[in-house]
Amino acid sequence: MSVTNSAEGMGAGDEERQLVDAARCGDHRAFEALVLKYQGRIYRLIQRLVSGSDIVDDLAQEVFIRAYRSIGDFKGESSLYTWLYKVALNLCRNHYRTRGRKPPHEELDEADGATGVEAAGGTPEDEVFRREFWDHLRLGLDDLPAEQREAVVFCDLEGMSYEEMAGVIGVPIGTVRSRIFRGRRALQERLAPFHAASAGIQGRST
Amino acid sequence: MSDARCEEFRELVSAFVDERLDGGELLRLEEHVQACAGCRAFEGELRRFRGLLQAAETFRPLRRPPPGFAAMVISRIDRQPHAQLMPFPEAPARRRLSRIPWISLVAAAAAVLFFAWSWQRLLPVGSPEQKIVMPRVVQMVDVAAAEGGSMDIWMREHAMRARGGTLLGSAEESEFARIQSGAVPER
Repeated sequence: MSVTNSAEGMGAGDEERQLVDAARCGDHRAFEALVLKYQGRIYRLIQRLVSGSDIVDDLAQEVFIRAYRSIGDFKGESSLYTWLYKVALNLCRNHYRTRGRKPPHEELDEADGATGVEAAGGTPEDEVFRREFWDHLRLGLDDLPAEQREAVVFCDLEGMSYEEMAGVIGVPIGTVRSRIFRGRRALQERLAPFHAASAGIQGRST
Repeated sequence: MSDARCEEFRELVSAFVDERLDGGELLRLEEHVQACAGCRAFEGELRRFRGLLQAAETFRPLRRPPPGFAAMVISRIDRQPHAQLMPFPEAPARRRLSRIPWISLVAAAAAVLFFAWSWQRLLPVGSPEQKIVMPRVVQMVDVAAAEGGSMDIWMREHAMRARGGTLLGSAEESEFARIQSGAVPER
């Protein structure tokens, strides 16, 4: 199948469906096009759900490999990205289970933030604040129960709707709402010392 | 205002901040917030907190996929057989159980021996039935122990015969009848 030619003149949804159909038939080029389309989102999601930069590449690759193997199960009832999110979520959960409960700070390596602090700019005090805030946020997310961490990441960082979250996590919307609230509040308490100092920093960084 | 009541309303505040509140719940919250300075303050804190969370990723931007990421995925799909595409094993407890198949073998052998023992105890010692049945039981136990999986077949047969009102199969029954009639010598 010629992916490039057949995609011309079609809507994004039609094009994606055609790529999925072709991938189901074993067309690796079609699947590669899907990977290119969603790799950024999956990569970001994994970094938000799991601490430690060393594992992100492996997990992201595994998401797409598993998706390829089970693409026959994708019925098109939801969007492809929410289906990929389910695959990613299951892998991240397995990762948390199998790695045990390592102290999260051991996984906050320098590569996580070396470029970010420089990129944000500002005074040295701002940089210290940002670094500390980021580290505490990461530790706070790691300390949350998995279901609350997932809820906060999906809602506040991924910007997903409650319906999308209910579909990906597989729980009713009422449960989603409650998990978001409990996760936010636990994280808010953990990051309370930063609240007062945050207004000025946020103002300068945006 | 009691803390427990505010706790309930703060979950509504959280949904309100996400613009996910309407109807009766929204009216209840509005009424409560008018009278509760704590919950009014909570809304402001929550909005600031969400802003801070989102800003955090500008403090330290997330990494992007490396160049050639998609090609690497395809290369792994091409290269690896399905069985090797599982680098993240299941939870340890489940894995550990599945890695000790001898536990199920020991359990199977114990069950076979127990059934054999209880069956032969139902028969009078030295009776013709026991003399016929015991060699069969010993033979079945040997086979079950050797083949493992045959145990459940043996148990099903045993249960079927018990439901039919006899512990003996048709072959044993006819042999028993021959012994009783004196047609063949006892073994």
